[in-house]
Amino acid sequence: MAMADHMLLVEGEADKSFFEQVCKTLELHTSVTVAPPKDVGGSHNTKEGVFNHLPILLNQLSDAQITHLAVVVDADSEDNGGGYNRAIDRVTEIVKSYGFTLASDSVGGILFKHDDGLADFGLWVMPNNCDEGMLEDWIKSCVHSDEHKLFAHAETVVDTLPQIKFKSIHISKAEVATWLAWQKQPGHGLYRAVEDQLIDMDCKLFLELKDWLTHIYSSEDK
Amino acid sequence: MLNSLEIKNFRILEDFRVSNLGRVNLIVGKNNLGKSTVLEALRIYAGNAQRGLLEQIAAGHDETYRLGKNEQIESDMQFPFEDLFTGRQFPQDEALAISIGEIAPGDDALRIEHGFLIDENVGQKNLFGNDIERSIRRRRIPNPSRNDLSSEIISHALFVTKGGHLFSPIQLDTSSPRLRMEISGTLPCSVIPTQFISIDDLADEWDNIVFTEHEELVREALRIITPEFENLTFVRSDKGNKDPRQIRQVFRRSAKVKMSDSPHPVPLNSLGDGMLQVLQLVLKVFPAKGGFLLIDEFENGLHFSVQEKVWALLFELAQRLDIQVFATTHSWDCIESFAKAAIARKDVEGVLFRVGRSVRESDRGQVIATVFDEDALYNITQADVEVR
Repeated sequence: MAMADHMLLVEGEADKSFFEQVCKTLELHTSVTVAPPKDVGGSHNTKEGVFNHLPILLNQLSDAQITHLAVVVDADSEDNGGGYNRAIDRVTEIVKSYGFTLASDSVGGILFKHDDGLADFGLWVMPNNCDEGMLEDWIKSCVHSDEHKLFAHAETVVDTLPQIKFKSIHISKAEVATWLAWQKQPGHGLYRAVEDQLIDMDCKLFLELKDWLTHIYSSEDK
Repeated sequence: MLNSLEIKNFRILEDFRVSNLGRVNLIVGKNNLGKSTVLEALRIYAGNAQRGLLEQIAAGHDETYRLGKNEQIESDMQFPFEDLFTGRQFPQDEALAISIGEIAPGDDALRIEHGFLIDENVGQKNLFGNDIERSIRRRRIPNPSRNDLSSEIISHALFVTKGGHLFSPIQLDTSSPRLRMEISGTLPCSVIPTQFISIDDLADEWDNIVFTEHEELVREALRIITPEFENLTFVRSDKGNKDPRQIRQVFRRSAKVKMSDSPHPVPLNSLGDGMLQVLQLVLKVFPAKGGFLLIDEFENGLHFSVQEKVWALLFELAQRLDIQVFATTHSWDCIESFAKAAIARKDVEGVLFRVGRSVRESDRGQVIATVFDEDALYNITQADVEVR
């Protein structure tokens, strides 16, 4: 499927605009198409939708319709059938029959090496490949010091709500949304955090993601 | 019907496999990567590589298909059909044959090997042991030395087998056209090239089906393109015998159409390429019964709005007449319309495969196929995704 030869498969629209902004900010030398499953023919914009659609994209690597491919999913919570380990195991199983094996030297983001010369396949399990959570947890960890005060206030507000309607796994989601609601342009998507430089691009987690993306998408075309 | 396809050492297709085929198959891919070569291989498979067919194919590419009169055999000359082999030369190793068939061990694949024949004198003796007749028998020999090759009794030849059946060898270093034996066991095969088939040829096909149930089918098909279409006939065209250089009168025919909105016959040629494409598609379907229909550039002249209906018709006819269809395309529209038609016909399998060059290390640069079965096709229709 030749929509683009550099593809990043994500869970949904919010992740799409967020990662588009990240790629733009990082000035990767090639343009990366960020797409949730439905954009590329999948049936559902969910984590499961990503796993189900992944084989079709992997199939496009052999004749270079896609040359560079990576996936970002949320770890979610272990108790709800999620967790980073399950996500890694699931992807490892899917990519195995296409010749990819988990690289032992993966730092930060996860890499899979190919046995027949294709470029590395990448996996990032939000927030940091070793904790439960999601993209908002990653953002929370990367909030710029100038924003700490405002973010702390958002945390307090969420913490003192008279009524909690969301699951506890979604607390950071609520906090990040609250915090973004108080910015110059209130209530835009997660991508605003990057575009308006509300996150610290020198923090460890940001640099890890940056290194991972750069490794995946800046390698030479084979 | 072929359930899979393996082509070896044939032109650009050195080691090419399509893991599963459907009844109707669409081939996509960039130019010059062998889409039409796949069709050509299938044509040779269907026709058991008989000499007349190989000559037609080679001539169509301006390749050597017969040696000139009195042409000397030189070491660097191009032999007839040598271009069919990968690298445009006969392989040194005789085991490297052109092979076209299913992916299966002990299969019924068609094999074309290059080798050598030697002429041997065979004496016939009568009851008393005296020679009464001498005849020449040709026998295949292993790779002769260079010296032997200059001798007139050794000649280059192609040896064709299919499913264990050995056909008579095709001798290559002879300039005289040989008596052609029709090879039995060929599959019916209709070819629709990128250039439109001549009206005379189509008129002959029409003659074959006139007053049969197929005649109405042709009319229905043409109505997909032009709803006002009522009927079709082929008439003698005056143009044919006006050329004063022609000694004999050559009658050509042209197609006239009855339209509901015109009191006069209308020339088919004035109705656009879509009508011609559909007419040739449908007329060439019938002689392909039980065999292959090979279509180079399906979308030729067909506007997107009618493609899905034409595909639907082809799926129906392919199923009814037990035909396996292989078509190529350049157009994304065509892929989309094919996918929709394939999904609509649950009972008839449609497969799309892309030909492209491998970037894997083990077979880098080889032309390989990437298959999209109906599930993958469904995805294509659901998204703004291009498979070209």
